[in-house]
Amino acid sequence: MPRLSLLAALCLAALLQSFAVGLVPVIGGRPDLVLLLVTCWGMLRGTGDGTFGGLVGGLLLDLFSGVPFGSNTVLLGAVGLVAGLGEGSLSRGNLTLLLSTALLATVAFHGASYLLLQALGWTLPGAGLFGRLLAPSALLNVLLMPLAFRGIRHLIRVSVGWRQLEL
Amino acid sequence: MLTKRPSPPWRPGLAIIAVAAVLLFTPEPVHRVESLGTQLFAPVQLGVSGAFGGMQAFWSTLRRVSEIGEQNEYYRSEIDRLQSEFVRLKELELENEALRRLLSLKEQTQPGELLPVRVTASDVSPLLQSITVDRGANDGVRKDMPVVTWKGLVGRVVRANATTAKVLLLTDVNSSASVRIQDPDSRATGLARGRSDGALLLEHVPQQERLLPGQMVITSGLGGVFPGGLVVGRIGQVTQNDYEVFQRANIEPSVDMTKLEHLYVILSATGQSEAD
Repeated sequence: MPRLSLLAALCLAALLQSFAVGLVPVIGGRPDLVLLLVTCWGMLRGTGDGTFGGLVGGLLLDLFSGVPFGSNTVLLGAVGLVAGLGEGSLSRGNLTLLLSTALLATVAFHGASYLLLQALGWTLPGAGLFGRLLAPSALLNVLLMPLAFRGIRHLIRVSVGWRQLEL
Repeated sequence: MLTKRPSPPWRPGLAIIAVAAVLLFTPEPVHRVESLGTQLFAPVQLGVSGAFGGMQAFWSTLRRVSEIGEQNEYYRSEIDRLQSEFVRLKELELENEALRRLLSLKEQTQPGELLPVRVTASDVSPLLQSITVDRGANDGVRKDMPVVTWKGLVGRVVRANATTAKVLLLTDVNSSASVRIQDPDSRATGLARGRSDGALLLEHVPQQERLLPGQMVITSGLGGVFPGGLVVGRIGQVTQNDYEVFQRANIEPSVDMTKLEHLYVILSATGQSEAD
């Protein structure tokens, strides 16, 4: 049941992410909604569920992207796995830790994606420009992380039951 | 209390490796999954796209009410001017046609049929500047077909699924087009490359050619992907170094790639015969 709820949330997030470009005119860029949901899901549910969420979220991103099919699936699966390693210790609502995790997940995911595409022979923007392209997304992700965390926590509580997850 | 037993991390790790192996070694089923997925999401994407487009247009209109009045006046005068220009160009076209026949010149290949398409999504990766449109191989869209708006060149089709297609924008670093300066004093040719920051870079223009900011850049028709005469943009800053063989210049694209909505695919012969 929680996995089905996550699937619905990921579908919605992926659709929104594919249209959210330019909606925040001052900052530019767009938030990585799917990445945020997968990170929060992993932090709250552990490595197994984190990986599942990452693989599904990555698959959805691959449908909406021109990058080689499967690259987002594998990378986001790894993000979900790593986020799941911090289950319990990270999920107690420490705001600084939460924001740092969002920043780290953004840089790690896009950095790994950059390296993977480069290894596959793609022409990519230089490191400086890549940093400039990534900065707005990272900022938006950090700002939205507390909201995503609360959203996923609420989703789990509703679908699993309040008594099984005391946070 | 959380009663769930944590799973050992090596098991999900193994799952990721298994998925990676499947994706790597079974491209055909993976392509089918991708095609099915895009077909499944295409109507939803179109609906969400329409809703977002409507919202953005509404807010944009509210912000620009006073501006729109002035623009309306400007456009009216511009229509009058363009109508007279059109008549003059028509005359020139007729004259040109007569001269071509006279000289027995081979007519330049006409651009193919235009297929109207709508943008359903933009790429979710900041590393790639591409969009998805709502027509695919079923409507005759093929890989490498040019995509345009009435303002100019947008990019080319890089992947055609049954009902959708992915278009790589001209501003992506993986895009390039053979171009020509549209100026009576300079017919210099060069290569326009995407820079991923919304602008284009004009390269391989010999030093002796005269490049000036504001000059119009159009496709040259060389290279076989884009037909000649499509507007690309205008020259911006020019960089000339004595020690280099070629000069470079920035091109400001004529099309705002962040506000794409209604586009056209040129169903020309340049596209590959089979869907990707």
